[in-house]
Amino acid sequence: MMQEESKVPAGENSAEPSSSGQVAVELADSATERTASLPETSEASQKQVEELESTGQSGAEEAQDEAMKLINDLQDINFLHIVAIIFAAWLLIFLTRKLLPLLAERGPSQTRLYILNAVPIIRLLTMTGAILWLIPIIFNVNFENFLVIAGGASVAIGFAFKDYVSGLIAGIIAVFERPYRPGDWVTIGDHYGEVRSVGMRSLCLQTAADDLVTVPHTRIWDENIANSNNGERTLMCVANFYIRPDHEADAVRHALREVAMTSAYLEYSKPVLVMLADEPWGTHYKVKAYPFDLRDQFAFISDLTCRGKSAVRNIGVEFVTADYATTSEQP
Amino acid sequence: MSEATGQPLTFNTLGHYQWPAMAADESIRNFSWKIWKRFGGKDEDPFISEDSLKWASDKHSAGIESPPACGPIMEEMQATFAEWICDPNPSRWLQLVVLPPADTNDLLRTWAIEHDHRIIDPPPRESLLDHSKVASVPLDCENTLVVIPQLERWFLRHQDGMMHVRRLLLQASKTKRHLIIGCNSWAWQFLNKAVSAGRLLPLGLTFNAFDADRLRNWLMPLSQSDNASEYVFRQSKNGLIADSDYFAKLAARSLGIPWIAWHLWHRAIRVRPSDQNIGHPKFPDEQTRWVSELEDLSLPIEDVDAALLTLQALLIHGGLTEEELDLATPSVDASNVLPSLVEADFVAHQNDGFQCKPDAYPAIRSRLVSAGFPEDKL
Repeated sequence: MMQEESKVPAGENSAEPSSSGQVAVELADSATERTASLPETSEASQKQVEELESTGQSGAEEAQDEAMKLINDLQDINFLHIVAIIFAAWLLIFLTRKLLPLLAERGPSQTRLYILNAVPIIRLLTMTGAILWLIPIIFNVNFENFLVIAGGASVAIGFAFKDYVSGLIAGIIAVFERPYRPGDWVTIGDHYGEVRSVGMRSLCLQTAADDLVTVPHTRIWDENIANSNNGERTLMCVANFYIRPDHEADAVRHALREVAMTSAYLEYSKPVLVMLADEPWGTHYKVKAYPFDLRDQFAFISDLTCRGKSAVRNIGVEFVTADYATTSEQP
Repeated sequence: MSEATGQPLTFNTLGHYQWPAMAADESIRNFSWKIWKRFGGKDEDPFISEDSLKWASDKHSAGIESPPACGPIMEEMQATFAEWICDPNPSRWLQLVVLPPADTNDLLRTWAIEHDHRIIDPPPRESLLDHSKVASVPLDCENTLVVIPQLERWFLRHQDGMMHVRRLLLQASKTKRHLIIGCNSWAWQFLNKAVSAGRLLPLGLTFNAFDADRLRNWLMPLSQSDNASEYVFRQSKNGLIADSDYFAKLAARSLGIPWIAWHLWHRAIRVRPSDQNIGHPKFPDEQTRWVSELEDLSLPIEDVDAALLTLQALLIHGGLTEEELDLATPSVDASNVLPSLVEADFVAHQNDGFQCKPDAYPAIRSRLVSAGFPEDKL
């Protein structure tokens, strides 16, 4: 750059004052160098060089001022543009949050979870896009300003918004790592329920008792999250049966398997298992099977329990009662 | 007959059924039409208003005859099994025929009667829950071929209702004689899971789907022509004669199942009241029958889950009584939804039992699949 500039006659440059700060600084530097390297120039040339020098210095000052300016001049900011971007982003997020769940519930069961999962991703992309669009409109973006903003933001986050930002970051991680997604059934702490929505800072669980529990994303930093279906349309359901120990286990096992196999909620492509374990108070049977739709899980377990009890009684086997259990546990 | 080779068609193994597809533009048109209607859009002016037409309640006024037990399928069945029946030492003694549900003609039984084969009937449904009545099936008779149609009537989806079918399948799998078992596709899918029927019986066979040409070649000859006049089938929306486009749509809507197509066709036929009593018609050798648009059936809005469970149970069993339905479905009051399903034209009440109506089957299947129920396989 400097080599190219030195080939150009000084008079040509002086005729056109540069509007760019950076170019002005370079011109000033080059003029100074030329002045130093040309001690025997004519008077006219000397004047031109002085003019050039003064122009370059003023350009450099302007550039420095501009570089120090964090926010663009108010008259340069198009507020209508900003409002339009914010409104468009809000509208898109609002429509996504309202329409996609509606579509998911009314559409085919196979696509429900895919549609629900798209909600937080679309929201995150929309917000990111809107912020990236707004920043150059409001701020004077350059490296120095970036450092200033980053430094200021670090202090603010460190002292004032630590928890909130931690929640936001956890929310972003939750969108990509997907420990839970809308429509999943998860256990967080003592709460088991369906993830109704995944927000930026928290998620909403709807429990079987129809409670809406708000859980901050920061729980993923230090707590285990059990996801029962992990994005699939079905999940394992377990029906428990507690039977007195003196019985024919094969007959009970067969009867309970038949109960699961003839359930109207059964998903055919998944296995049916009947497990049993001897406990001090009797035999604990677990019927493990999958419903074709995870929303039927409680109806499925109730169906298995109800018909399982009937089947077990029909083969003459008795259930453990509280008295029996208490008696058996006594030393 | 196969168009390519001139050979008669034979059954295919399950998994090779060519579901007739709706043309893409027709699908888009239907979709946009539904949205248009949803937001209160009005119908285009038809060529002839359907209000001025009367539903052809009886077959004569509709200008069509009952299907003669789906002749083309009977021919396919005969072509498939004729050689096998004559083979005294076949590689496989047992054959499985899987047909879609709502087969009101009971095709396999009709074919067996026509060819004088022995038929073994299912036990009465009320005895299915009684384990003491499980007896072996008399498969050792003198007939060359034994046919067991309607395997769906050999069980009740209940923890005590699977003994008979389990016994039958075990016995059939060991037999060393020609035996054909028929089952509907929904029941077969269930039995595959519940009693691992697929391990006992060979891969099922099913007919070739009816595409537009095959459907038209079968349906049009069924159109009656009384001595004096021929029937002409015109579409009420545009006045054009029902052409290959219409039959392509009918094939797609009926899923390629001829008896479903016949019922949809029958349901679509309209007559103009004046046509029946006309004194001196303009074209005396021609009578017009109007073919209305294939309408979509919609489920009752309330209690959709119970309705779907009920419909699935009816498909799997090929029909149930109210008491049987209560046993086969998890809802305590499943039979309560039956009146609304009858009202909505999804279910018909016949011979003390309820069955899914053939013309409603495409809508039922679509709703069940959409709701995530395990679907049948052809």
